[in-house]
Amino acid sequence: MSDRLETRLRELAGDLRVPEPGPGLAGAVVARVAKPRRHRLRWAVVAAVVLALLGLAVSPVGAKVTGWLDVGGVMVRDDDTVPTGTPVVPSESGRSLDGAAFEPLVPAALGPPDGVRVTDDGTLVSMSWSAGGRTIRLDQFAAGLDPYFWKSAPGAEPVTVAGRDALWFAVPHEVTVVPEGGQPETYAPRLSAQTLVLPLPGVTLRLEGDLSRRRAVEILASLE
Amino acid sequence: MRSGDLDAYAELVTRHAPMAVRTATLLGAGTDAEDVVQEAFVKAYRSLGRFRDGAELRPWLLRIVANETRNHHRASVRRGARERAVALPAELLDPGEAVADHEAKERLLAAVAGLPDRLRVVVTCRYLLELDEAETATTLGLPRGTVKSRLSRGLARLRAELVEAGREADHV
Repeated sequence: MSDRLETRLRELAGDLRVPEPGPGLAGAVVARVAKPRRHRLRWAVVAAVVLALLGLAVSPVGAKVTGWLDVGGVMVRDDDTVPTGTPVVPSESGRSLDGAAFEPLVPAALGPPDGVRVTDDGTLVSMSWSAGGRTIRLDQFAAGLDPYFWKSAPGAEPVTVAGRDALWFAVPHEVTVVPEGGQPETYAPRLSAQTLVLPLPGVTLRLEGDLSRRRAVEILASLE
Repeated sequence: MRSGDLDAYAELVTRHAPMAVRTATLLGAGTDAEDVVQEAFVKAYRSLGRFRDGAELRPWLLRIVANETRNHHRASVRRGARERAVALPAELLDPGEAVADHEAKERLLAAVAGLPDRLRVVVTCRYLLELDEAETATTLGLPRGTVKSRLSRGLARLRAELVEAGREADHV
């Protein structure tokens, strides 16, 4: 009798008609998640933390999704500049490193940067170099690399830069920020570029651009 | 250049949407199922960072859908929905199609709908959504043992109910 009832329930399952999802569902979802929820970031207190984490908490999200689907992903990173297809030159670019909360390093291999930006609190310094329509960007965060990031970074290749451990991302990733005690914030793709992440004592560097691994290592090995 | 991850996620949504809508509908979201599912996929995206490596995707997604269905239900109760929608309305059985033994199926559906909530959702996941016990447990956020015991209680209730209904039918 037990089997009979279970069989009947299974047959019933086959006869139930549920509406198909509308064709706009995926688009509506993506439109919503692509919108950065900026209001949360305006909390002055956490702003500095968030800025630092933006570049650091590259989450396994992108790799997971692409792992499930077997399709390529895109390097995702967030910035307060407009979306663009090339690496972003810091807005309000200047040349001054004044106001940085630490001693920013400049890679000799690239020479003086074309653009420099220091956040108000001095915890994030961004530099860019443009040549031949290509841009290289270097962000320096006055923060250590999250150990979790280090362990979980998917698709990362450990490399050595002047004797120090670094992570090379040839496959693009998505960025999720996790403010302390808060919900993870995921940021929509902005650009596609390789990245080299180098943690130094008290400062973490992120180099981005259309670079080979060898060239990226060479650039960060020339920091002065 | 915002293809990549978002495109991938769109594909994931498309792939899992039918099951998600079915889950929301059968767990009681009714005609709002698609809204519930949209909300669930937005939340899932924002929670992907917490997805445990090695875990299974489908039950993880369905759990978010089930939670969202519950939230939706609570919200409509708060808004003062005049009457509680029937969790499993008879319209789910398409009358236009030649469903064999239609009346018996309607009776069975009504019996499932009439189960106490905690038994109904377990029976619904296990049989109407055709999830296995482990997936049912994850989807509903219940321990495996609880799923087992509620399933057997649910089936016992249904059996009693149907015997009763059958007896009445015989006497008509």
